[in-house]
Amino acid sequence: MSNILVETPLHHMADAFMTLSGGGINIHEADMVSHLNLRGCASDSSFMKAAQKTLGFALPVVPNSFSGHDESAAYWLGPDEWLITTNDIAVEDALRVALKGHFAVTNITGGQTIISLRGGASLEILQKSSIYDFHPSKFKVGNCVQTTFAKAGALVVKKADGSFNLIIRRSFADYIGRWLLDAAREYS
Amino acid sequence: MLKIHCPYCDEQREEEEFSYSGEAHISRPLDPGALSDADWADYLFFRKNTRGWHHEMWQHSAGCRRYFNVTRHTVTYEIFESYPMGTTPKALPKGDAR
Amino acid sequence: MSLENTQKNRLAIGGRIDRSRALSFTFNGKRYSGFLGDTLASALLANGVDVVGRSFKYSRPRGIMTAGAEEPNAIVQLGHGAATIPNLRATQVALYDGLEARSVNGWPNVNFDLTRIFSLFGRLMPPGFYYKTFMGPKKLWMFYEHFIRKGAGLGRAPTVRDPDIYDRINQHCDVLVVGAGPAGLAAALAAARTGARVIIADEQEEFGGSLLASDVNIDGKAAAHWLAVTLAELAKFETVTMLPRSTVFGYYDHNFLTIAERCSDHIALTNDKAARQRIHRVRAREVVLACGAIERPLVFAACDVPGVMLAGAVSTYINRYAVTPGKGLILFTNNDRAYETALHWHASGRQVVAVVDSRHNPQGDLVQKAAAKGVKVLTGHAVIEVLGGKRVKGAMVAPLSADGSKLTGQAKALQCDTIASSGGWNPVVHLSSHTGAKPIWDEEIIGFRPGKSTQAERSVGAAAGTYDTASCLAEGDASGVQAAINCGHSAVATSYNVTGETAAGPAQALFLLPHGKPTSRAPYQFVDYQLDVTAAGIELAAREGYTSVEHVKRYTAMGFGTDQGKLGNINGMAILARKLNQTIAETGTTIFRPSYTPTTFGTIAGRDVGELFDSARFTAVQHWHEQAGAKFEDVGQWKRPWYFPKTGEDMDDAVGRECLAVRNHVGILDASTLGKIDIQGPDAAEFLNRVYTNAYLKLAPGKCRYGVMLGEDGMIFDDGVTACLGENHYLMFTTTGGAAGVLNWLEIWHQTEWPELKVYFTSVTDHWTTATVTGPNARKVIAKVCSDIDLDGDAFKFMDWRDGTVSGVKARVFRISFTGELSYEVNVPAHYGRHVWEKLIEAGAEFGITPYGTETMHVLRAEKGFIIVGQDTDGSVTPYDMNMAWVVSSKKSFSFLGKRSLDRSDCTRTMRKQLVGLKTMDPLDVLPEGAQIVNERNAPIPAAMQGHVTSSYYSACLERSIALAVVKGGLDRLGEQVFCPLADGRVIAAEIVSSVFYDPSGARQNV
Repeated sequence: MSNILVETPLHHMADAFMTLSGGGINIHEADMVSHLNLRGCASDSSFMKAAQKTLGFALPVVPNSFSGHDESAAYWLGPDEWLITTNDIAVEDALRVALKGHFAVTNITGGQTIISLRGGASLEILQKSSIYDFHPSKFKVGNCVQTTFAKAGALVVKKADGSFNLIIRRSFADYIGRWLLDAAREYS
Repeated sequence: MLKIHCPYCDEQREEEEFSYSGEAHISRPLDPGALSDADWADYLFFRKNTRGWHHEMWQHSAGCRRYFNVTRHTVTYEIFESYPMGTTPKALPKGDAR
Repeated sequence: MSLENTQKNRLAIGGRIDRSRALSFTFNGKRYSGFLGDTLASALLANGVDVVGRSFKYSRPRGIMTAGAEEPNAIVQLGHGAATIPNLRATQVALYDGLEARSVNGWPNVNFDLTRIFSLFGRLMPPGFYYKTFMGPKKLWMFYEHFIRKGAGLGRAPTVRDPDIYDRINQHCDVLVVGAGPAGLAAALAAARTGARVIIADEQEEFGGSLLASDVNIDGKAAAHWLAVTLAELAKFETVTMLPRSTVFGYYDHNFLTIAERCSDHIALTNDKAARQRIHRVRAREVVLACGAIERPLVFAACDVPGVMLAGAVSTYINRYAVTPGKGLILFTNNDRAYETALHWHASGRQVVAVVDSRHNPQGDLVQKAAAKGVKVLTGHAVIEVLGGKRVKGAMVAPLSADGSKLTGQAKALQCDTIASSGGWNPVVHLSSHTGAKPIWDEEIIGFRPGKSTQAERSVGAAAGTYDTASCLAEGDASGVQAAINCGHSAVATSYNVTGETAAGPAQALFLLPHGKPTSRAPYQFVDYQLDVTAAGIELAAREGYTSVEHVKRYTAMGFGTDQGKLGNINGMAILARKLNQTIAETGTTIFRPSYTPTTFGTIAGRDVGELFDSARFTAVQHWHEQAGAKFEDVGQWKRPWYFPKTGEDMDDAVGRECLAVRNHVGILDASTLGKIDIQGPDAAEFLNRVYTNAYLKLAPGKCRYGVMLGEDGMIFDDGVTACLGENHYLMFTTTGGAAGVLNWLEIWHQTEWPELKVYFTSVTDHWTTATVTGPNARKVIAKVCSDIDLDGDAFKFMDWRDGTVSGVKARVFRISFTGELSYEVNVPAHYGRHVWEKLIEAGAEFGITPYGTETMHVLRAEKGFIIVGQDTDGSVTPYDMNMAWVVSSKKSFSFLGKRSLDRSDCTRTMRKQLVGLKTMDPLDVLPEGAQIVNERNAPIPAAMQGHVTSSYYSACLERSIALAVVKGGLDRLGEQVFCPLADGRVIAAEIVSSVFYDPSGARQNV
């Protein structure tokens, strides 16, 4: 498989993001991980238990929050919908085996990417891009939110170290990348 | 620019995250074939176009993608409540809330 | 010559300017000097510049009248070239070194104005001029228009792209305070002390409002000192955002407000990284409107001559900018507060000629104070006419009846060069009015107060008609406390001890002054300076039958200028009320709308310009397409390769070559943009059965089916192929443009009507790269890169799909075809998209594989008569209209979406437009898409339209043009000749034929 070219959606912008570093903002595309869309009934305890057993942590049921850790995380997308990001490609099949009844596991790895946003200007850049209130008193570590981002959308995540992740769709990645470069220019 | 409470995300969110989906509580007839053209047209085309409190559907399209209902005043744009699909709205306030 | 020498009106001491920082600027090409802290207006007045513009209609010379947002005359264009900004108020432009400004109106220049000729036949331009002229002979308007537009135009838009950065930021707060005068500051402070998130914005260069030039003491401190201490305290709160130079210009639903911040307009050389202006889009839980009041001028003859100014503005120039804009002052007032201006003028060492007070027996403290200083006060008098042209030379002053309605004696001339006018104050109700609140007339303050709003807001201070500092502070504090409490904070009230205020006696309600002649014959008594609306014009409108203030506004154009009538509207309404013999309350006011002051397009656009104007979507193969020289086409937000021209080829050449390659060899298309929805659950098949016209219950794993979706009205809404991936698992393809709409369509039916069906929908559009390999050699190409799928035609049939490995990547391969040729749609996760695409190109090289774009795709499918939803359909066609009865199942037990509508009488009638093919008689004629179809070559106009062309191309394969069209009763008219009259006068004859031009049996895709 080593001769197979793998391209992340923002592979072509790595250098442009590098030019910002050292200023108030640091942007980079995170390493590729598996993205799985998981559907199931949150009030079905056998579903929740099987998911927890497979993932090693419980699916979040509080809206706009996520659970897990750096290697593997589950994000609340809706009352019966989660996004799983994981660097363990075995999780997809493990979920299909463990879950019973009415559920859906859909691999969307190729369709998404994660942008890491860190530095003092991160909050302002989010404010320039999205109408959601990211003020630290409202949007805390452990929160995630799906909202509009420029003229596209993003799942914005507040990580334990205070930095933000943007989980975005592949087809919009180039646009969002260019938008971020433009919005970050004054801090570079 | 309305501020709308999504009953699933349980937050006040901005209008630009939502899409309007028309009047609420219109059920699809169970046996469309049994309806006269006029009755079918009534279901298909005619809406209340209320001046005042109005039950309407919204979708949290940039958020959780769920549809829900909103009771909104079509003159003042005040929103009385948001409530999930399949639930009954509260009794309407008299006049304008504020 | 020292800098200061040019500033003949600059006082030796005082003001808030920095005299150590001299600045040089030009106005209308002439160089002047000023100081840091000046506005362009204060610097011009310091330099004794009288004429700053020409009036819109009569081209009269005009001078600076005000010191704020209400300025109607000093409208300037700043800078030059790309970064120029038109229509700025000189009173709001901070001076910087090197500033270039010129008047926006006044052609060829403000001092000698050719269009002044219009004043000679000014009587030809009464109110309603535009309407009347439009109704008259068109030629007359053509004659006027050229001069009016050129002479009176309001600035020039830049013709090249603006190089500056404009920013936009979203803000959320508990309390937004608009205005940073005493009321606003007290409100912000009260709220901030509770821990609330506060934003306070003020349009001026510095915070303070009236405190910047006030004589009062607050809590034992001089006003300026208290201000400094208060600002320092506010700045310490992390939860407080202070925005000077920031105009709150719009107030929208649910406490959403917009603020335009001038970030670097006041700095000469802009930083190439920082924004010039920024829009703050604020969602506030509570709003405090402390936006102050605007002084109202009195209306008298020739009250527009340069040198006539608002009294408060004169005080502002003296106190804040150390500029006394003249030598001899007449103050004309109907109230006490304006006396302060006479006192300030007197203190600056220049002559006060007289105070002319319309009241017969004013008794207030300030009146006494002026008299004590030896100022001559003429009570019961009025200025009825101004003398002078380009500058005030004097005033005609006459005794006035106690009610102000008539003159009681002869007028006499008094010499002066400045007339300060004060008719009272108008609370700034604009923002409150944006919310839909109707302003209410208040006899006590002789002005409109903000009305009742549905928003969580309150007006305080001068904006609510409260004019003394002590009450402003108290109201502000109370509002800040209440707003914070409403946001869930606990707050404590603060009381302020204010000393040194002078009590004001009662004012007189007076608007238009009588003249010796009737209004209609008196010299112009200007009401709206920017659009030259006069008292006579308003009275004429009333005489001509206009009784509604909204109609009079439109008829006279009062308030239509960029100043929105901030200065003149209330006077205009008062004049109308009197003419109509009713009260001002009965007459009412017009409603104000955003923007409060003009906002530049650059600021509104923010960074949504150029390549960021809209979100562009790209597939994973984009960079390959670019390197291959593709031309791109917008399909929704997607950028899709349109065609791949080789050197020397135009579009027709390239498309012809691509088409022939597919028909004769093999082509490859990036079809990744097609919508893809993953559908899972035990009721998935039942759900598909309900939303498609055809049957899905029996679709087996490994099989695909083409389906059409209808709206409930029976009209085609989308189409595509759905594959059964496994038990209870399907993949639905939608059109590129319809993807989001189809997903919502599925969701709304599932969530609102059929929640009992167990099914989940997930968009996987972005996950997959889809490479369509199509043409007689397609199988050979796939065989080279895929070894684990049996590609034999009997094992892997048309409309089958298989899992397999393509170039080392796990793939799904679908045998579906939009070209009519043997086709394989190879789907791989998008991060492998580029890899697999390149391997397919490599493998296909020996078979002549040719990348093709959307145009070739369109031609090939049209040759086959395959429709494109949205091109051949327009939301008014049923499957039957598209000759697709075969796709509608009559056997399904569930009444699928749209089924009932297919039986509506309109859907079953004859002579509906139906899809057919058209062959032009001359095979080289390509009909334009959209061409209308008639029955006769020389049909008399209006001819009965038979339909129109929906798709039309030159087919390289068939060596002739082909077209698809919808024609009334078309399916029964095959072989008939119809005609397409074109815009260029040609009439093209065509024969109605089958919509399938190529391989009607479908043999080629089925091998």
